[in-house]
Amino acid sequence: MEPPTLEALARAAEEKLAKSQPLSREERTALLVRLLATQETRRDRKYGLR
Amino acid sequence: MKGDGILVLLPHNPGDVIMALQAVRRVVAAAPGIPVDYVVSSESLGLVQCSPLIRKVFVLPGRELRAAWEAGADAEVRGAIETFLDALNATRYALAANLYQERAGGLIQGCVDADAKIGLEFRDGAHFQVRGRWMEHLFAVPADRSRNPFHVVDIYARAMLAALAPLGASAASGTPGAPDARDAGSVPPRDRSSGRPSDILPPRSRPEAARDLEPGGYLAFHPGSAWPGKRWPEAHWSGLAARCARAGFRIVLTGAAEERGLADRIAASLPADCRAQVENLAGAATLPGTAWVLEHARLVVSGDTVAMHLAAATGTPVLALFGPSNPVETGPYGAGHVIFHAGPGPAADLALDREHPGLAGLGPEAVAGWILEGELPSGHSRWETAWETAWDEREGAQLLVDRRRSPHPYWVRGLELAHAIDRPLDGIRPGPAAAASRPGPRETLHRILAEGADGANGVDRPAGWAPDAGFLARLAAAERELEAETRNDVVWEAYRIAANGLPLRDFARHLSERKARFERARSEEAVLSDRRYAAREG
Repeated sequence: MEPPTLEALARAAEEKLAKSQPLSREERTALLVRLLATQETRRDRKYGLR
Repeated sequence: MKGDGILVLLPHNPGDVIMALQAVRRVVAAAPGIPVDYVVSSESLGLVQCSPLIRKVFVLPGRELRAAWEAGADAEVRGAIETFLDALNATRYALAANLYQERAGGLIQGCVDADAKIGLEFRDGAHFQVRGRWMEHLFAVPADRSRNPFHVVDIYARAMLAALAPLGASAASGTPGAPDARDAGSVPPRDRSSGRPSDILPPRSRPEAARDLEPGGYLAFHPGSAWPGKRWPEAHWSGLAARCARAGFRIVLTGAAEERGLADRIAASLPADCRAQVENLAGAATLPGTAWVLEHARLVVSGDTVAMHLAAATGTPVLALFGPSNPVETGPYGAGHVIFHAGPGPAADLALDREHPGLAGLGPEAVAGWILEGELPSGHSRWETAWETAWDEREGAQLLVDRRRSPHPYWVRGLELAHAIDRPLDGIRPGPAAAASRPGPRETLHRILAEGADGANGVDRPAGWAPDAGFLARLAAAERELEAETRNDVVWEAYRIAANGLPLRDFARHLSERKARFERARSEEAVLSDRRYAAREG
């Protein structure tokens, strides 16, 4: 079976974050990569960190 | 301390990186010899690499990640980020200070090994959590941006010093470097042999285009800004340059490559008799070269830009022109700089993406009046104010003073808040008792939190206890009611940020910690204003 793509892992990480669930190391890394690679620089103005 | 030194995480933007270095200087002054490592983006690397303050630099591989991500090269991306995180993990730090207010910073912070951590962090079973009282208040600043009473450098430094104190580092404040002592007003003398700040930046290099400049013999004007709202109008720069040129000053225009057109237009608009006095170096120098030009200027005139922070960091006197941003929060750091604050004004127009009416109303004659005659502007608009940066030794913080040396109106509020933040909870007097007679949202919320944390009858909660839906609904309603009343209040925004990050896995513990944070916020609010509190609750 093909391993999940970074995009899929990052998406899963976002969903878990929204539910305050723990992330696996892989998911955490994938989300970090996506934030850095897509230059997401949304500054938290109203708890946008959730 | 078990861990080795401090890791500072604030990769960009360049102005923020310079302010982080100013804070590091304060921390190193308080804890001499403590090594400091730094995580920086490749775009801001030139500001940190070879800085005498920094031991080791970790470069965030942003460009490489973006290229590999866009190409769909998953394995390459994984390799690059794992290499970066492994390098960070090779050291256990005494303190990991994440000063970066983005989610990526919180994820990196979660991977760092340290005795103590401050700032945003992602932990299992929690939302993103902000650690450290001062960092909570930094995150709360957007709610109260135009009235934030602290300089960002002081927030960074106090956050780091507060975290280091239990680890055995001295809590001395460390004084920021100041330009020469001089009378307020007019262009200062060039002799800066004493009183210069210790160096925080990498070595500067004289650019080829500046080979004819006499150090200390020119004024540097930096007309550009990434934000339209921070830009002083082009015609005003022309008017200022013409006035200064006719008074015999040589003028150097600085800026990035993309600001060359702006500088060209300003130079071309000058009367013929003034043009020979103006040198346009916008886009002609690298970052170290621009830093050299700013460092050797007699005075730098700029908006709220990276050039302003660069000049202040090298000890060059700055005349800063502020519109929508708050000069208390991000003004030039170090004593003796002058700020003309043309805003935010009665309408509190804080937008950065369009021209600021207050800045447009600050004419070149007012700015030239200070440069040439030492006259501070007045009466050009009803909210225009001139400030000078000063240093309060006792408080260990920068403040702004007016021409009579009276402190900025935010100063008193800032001191009260700073003392409340730094003081242990049991040292703070409780809030007024008047609230008990007619419960407001604070009392309602406190009762619900106490019920959840301790049990309705004070009985210990069994392991794995979770509140029912009715309790959660009452809690949410009480939080909403309080938020409606305390929106834009920096104390309560800090409470909500702290509560938002508390882990949810153990509900009894979550509610207990939430109740403690609530009580601290209520105490801080009481310290700030008994009257305001009583008026709301009574």
